[in-house]
Amino acid sequence: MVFSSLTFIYIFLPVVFLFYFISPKRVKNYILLLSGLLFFAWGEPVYVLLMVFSASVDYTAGLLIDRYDDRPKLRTLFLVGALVINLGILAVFKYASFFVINVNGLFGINLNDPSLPLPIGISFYTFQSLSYTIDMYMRKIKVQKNYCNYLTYVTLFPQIVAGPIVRYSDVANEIDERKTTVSLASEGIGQFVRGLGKKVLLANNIGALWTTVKDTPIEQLPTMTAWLGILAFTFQIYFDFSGYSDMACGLGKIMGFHFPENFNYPYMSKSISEFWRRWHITLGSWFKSYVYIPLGGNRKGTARTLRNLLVVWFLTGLWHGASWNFVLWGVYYGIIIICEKLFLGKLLDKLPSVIRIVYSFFLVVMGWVLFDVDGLAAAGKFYQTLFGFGQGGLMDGNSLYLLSTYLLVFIICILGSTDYPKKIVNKMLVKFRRTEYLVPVFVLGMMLVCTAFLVNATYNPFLYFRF
Amino acid sequence: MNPKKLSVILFFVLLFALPIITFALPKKEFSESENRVLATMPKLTGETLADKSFMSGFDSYFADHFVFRDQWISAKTRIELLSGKREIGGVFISKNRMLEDVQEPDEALVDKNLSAIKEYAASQEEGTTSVLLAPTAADIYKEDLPSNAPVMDQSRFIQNSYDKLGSGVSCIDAAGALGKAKGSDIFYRTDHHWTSLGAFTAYQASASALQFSPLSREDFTVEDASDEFLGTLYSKTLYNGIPSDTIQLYHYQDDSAVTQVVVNTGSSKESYDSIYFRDFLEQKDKYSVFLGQNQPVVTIKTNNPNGKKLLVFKDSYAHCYAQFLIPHYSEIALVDMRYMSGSYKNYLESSDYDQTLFLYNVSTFTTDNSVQKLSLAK
Repeated sequence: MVFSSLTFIYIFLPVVFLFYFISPKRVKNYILLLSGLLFFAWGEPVYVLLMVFSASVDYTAGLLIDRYDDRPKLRTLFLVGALVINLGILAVFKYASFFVINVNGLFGINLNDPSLPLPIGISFYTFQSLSYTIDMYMRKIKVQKNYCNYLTYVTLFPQIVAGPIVRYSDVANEIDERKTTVSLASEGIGQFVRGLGKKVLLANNIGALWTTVKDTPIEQLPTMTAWLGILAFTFQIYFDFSGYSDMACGLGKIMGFHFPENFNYPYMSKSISEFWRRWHITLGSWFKSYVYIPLGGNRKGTARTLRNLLVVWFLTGLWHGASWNFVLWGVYYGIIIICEKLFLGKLLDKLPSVIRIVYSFFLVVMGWVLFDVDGLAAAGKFYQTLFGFGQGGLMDGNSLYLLSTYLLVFIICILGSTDYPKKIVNKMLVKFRRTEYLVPVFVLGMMLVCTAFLVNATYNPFLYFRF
Repeated sequence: MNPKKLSVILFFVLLFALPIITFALPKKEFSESENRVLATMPKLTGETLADKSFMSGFDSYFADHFVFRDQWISAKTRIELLSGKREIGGVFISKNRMLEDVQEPDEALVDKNLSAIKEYAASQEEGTTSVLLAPTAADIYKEDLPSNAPVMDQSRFIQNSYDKLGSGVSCIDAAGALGKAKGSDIFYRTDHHWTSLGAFTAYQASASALQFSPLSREDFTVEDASDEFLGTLYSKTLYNGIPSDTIQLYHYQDDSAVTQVVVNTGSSKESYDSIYFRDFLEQKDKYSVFLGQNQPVVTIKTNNPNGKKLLVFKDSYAHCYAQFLIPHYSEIALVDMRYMSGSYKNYLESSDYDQTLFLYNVSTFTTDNSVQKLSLAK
């Protein structure tokens, strides 16, 4: 199920909330577990079993690691076992086709392509569940003995399919003990509604422009249209994904959970290193905690640091999907970040903020070409077109038409990518206390407008479902 | 009340009220305003669950029957217009009218359509086959399109197509005539069809190709049959900023000229005594007052003593055009190959007719390949 659907908002949510809030405390996790399974099964009626299996492996590994606390070799064995099983499942379902195709191409052989359909959210829940086993191994958390509670954590419906990647340690206490308050719930509702608006009103709208551009044969694509298209995607993916994360965190708050935030105005970053501290924060910090630091981080000399960075960025790319596009996209960021660490960073520090923001934004936009134009050759042609070496000329009537019909949406997207609206609202709320009453009006208005767009949704994809 | 409490209450009231009302209200099978059959509740079986068709079916069912659906859609159209969008669901909305977006044609498809007609013409007596490609409103009222909107140049397309058809076919320049008449209401403002006046204009332009002397407007009595027509373009957008259209019927002297109208649905034949199916005036789909909805074959017989018979291969543009042919023929057969699976020969023989007319609007002709069924007759 997706958040941005009528079925989710007007059937799933009211039913789940009704049972959740009327039931006594000790039953609440069962209700959550049931609703998480149902939510997942709506999109993956068969693979739901795979997820339960994957979670059970980590649950068992956690128990065993706890049980044999004084047997280091056994503990390591359990950790490795859980890693192998979980990453093995991920490898088979997500990367097998990619692997087979490349091996076939490389050696000229003809292995059978299994072409299994990708289970929704597998990259997210595998990483989530693994965080528990690894943290258990590193003795950072206490064991969860209650199977239902553990499964509840993995299947928490707000975050199961698209993050944020909530680590067990983030919610360990709240799984056992949490409280919904009016204040937290209203905060959550505000965040949910904002996220819904980002997704339904901004991402879907501007995304339609990118779809039009992507469907144009590259030979006929003028430079200006290509720029409009890739900028549209730049905003689409941000509002799509951060909108989804906002909805997840908001729903969490309504039920008393505090999930980690996943985005912090990434397009205002003044360097690429900063961008990745503001974009998909939970993924970056996962790789940092569980790959970069265990590899030695930056404590073992420059050469090792560089190697570790490249490994992390290769994996970050690969995590996004089984294709060379994503791998290259990850390595692209790895190289930029290495440059920033070595010399570029010091240079940037001397420049005015505006230039640093433009620098980062430009590189990010260039990255999105690799990310979303399928195939490296096609991406190469797209770059050519962007820089005026394409066959479609510089601009045509259609470029102007697209610009004029999407101009207002672009302006709203640009403003929405900065923290100015938030600052203004906060100032207003402090200065004129009465304006507090605008918040419920905003909630109601946004819900109504989004409902109108969902009732007649012609274009409502969800980008991060592929990962 | 505390504004935080208010947020929570409003959110939950909305969350519960809308689905409850949706399920409490009786369900419609057909949406008059959108002019389409609504989704039905999918069957819940192991199979439909496993292949997810239950889930997608339920999503459409819930959306189709969602309370105040029409109002939500209208609101969405209004908001999209405010955001700067000018085209909504394939419909351009301007101050004056709505216009169907006709996309650049698929050349290969068009060429096949044209050669099918050419081949047909070659098999007929010389000079008896005519073609009328009608432009749509988007071409005649270009000034109502947003500036730089990417639309095809229909007039040029029609000219090119006529050139390709060559001299074996008499081509009718309706586009030129319609362009000159654009000051009058020759196209509906909420529907993709031409009006009776538009069809009349094209009829006058057809005279030399079809070899009759055209009547003038004064020869007809015009009846305003309904002024509440909201057409297909309205159905797609539910935009209520354009007032409803008037449907006019052009009566030549009196309707007694028509002796019989036979509608062959493929499975049955029904007889009527008028080309006007007035029941439709009470429904949403008011354009169907002209000979009803599309059917494989409709035959009109008149008391005209001249014995001339005309065969028309057509789309729905021909329905209101047909009213002007009645004074000139004793029999007219309208054949819609989109609604038959085999050859038209299963219904009639072209040799029984003195003339053939192909009448399509550019939108149909560039997207539909049913004309190619002509070759099944060989």
